[in-house]
Amino acid sequence: MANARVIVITSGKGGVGKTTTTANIGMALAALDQRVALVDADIGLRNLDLALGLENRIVYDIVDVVEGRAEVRKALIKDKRNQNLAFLPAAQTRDKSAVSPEQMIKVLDDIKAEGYNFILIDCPAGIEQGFKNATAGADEAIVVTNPEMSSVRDADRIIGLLESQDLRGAKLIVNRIRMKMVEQGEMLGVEDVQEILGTGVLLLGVVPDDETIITSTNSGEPASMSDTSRAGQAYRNIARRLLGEDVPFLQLAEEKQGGIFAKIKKLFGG
Amino acid sequence: MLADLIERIFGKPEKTGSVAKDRLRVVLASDRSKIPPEVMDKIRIELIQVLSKYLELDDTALNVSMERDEDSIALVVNTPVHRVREVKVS
Repeated sequence: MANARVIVITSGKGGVGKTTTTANIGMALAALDQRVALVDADIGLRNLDLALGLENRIVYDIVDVVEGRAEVRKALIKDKRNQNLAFLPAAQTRDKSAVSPEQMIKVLDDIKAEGYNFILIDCPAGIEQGFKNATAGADEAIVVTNPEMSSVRDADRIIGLLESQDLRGAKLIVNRIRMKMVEQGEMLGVEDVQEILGTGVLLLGVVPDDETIITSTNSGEPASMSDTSRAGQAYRNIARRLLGEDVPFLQLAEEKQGGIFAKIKKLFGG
Repeated sequence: MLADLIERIFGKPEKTGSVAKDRLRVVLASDRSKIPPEVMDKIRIELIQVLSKYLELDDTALNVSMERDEDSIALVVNTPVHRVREVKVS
């Protein structure tokens, strides 16, 4: 059973939503009956535990596994809300040199041997050693960006670095988009971002800027668990696309309203 | 009304979304064309090896650079040539 898909979730720039994305896609895939292991590779700046609401259940972390104090099976925290989901935390008291690329690959092999279908790696920000360690064992990459200049620029850099590590065809998530601002011409649109980044990336998802991301992180329940969260819906769609389903991109609220108004106007000959 | 009038006289101010797009295009073209110095040295050495098969040249004077104008980027190789070698092309 060593045929898990290993996907690294990366961005270059910090604060664009890598960890939130990892937690939400992981939870959404688990809800689709996939066996998912999430790995926090941001050693020294542990955060995925909070996004998942599993911070109080940590006993062992990835460095304990690498240094032989715990087997991966023991270190993986099984989520009680969904038995399909497991989580390997980062160490909080060590730094990014604590796990080498070879050691990361070994940890991933051990997780694969446990029979997971998906392993999602939450990559640290930056392009240094932490990035290299986190991408070492991955065979696919998801690049998260915001429709904002510095984040798109860093995404472009990361796509180049991924290609130099033979991670071609990275998949793109445009996160925190505000459709109203895009319509007013005051924010880069999804097509703009795609056009700028070129054909090296495929669009995997568009996630609206949504307050439910903040409230769901507050309560440790990824938004993809909520039926009413629009961002959660976007993440569920991303999970289905990862499984090969052809899911249309979300019609974001403002557009929809415009559509309805336009239809009514049309009805009255407007 | 006043705003309309000002717009009519001075033209509509460009939206920040398209300003961002234009600025990004330019900065990415520049970022993407940056060659690390050690790679540039390698290009230079290998170019000299290839060109020397066909030309007698002063290899200390061979100059390689990236030049950019409005919307394109070019690798420019500049070298004085002493003479062309007699080469059999089979």
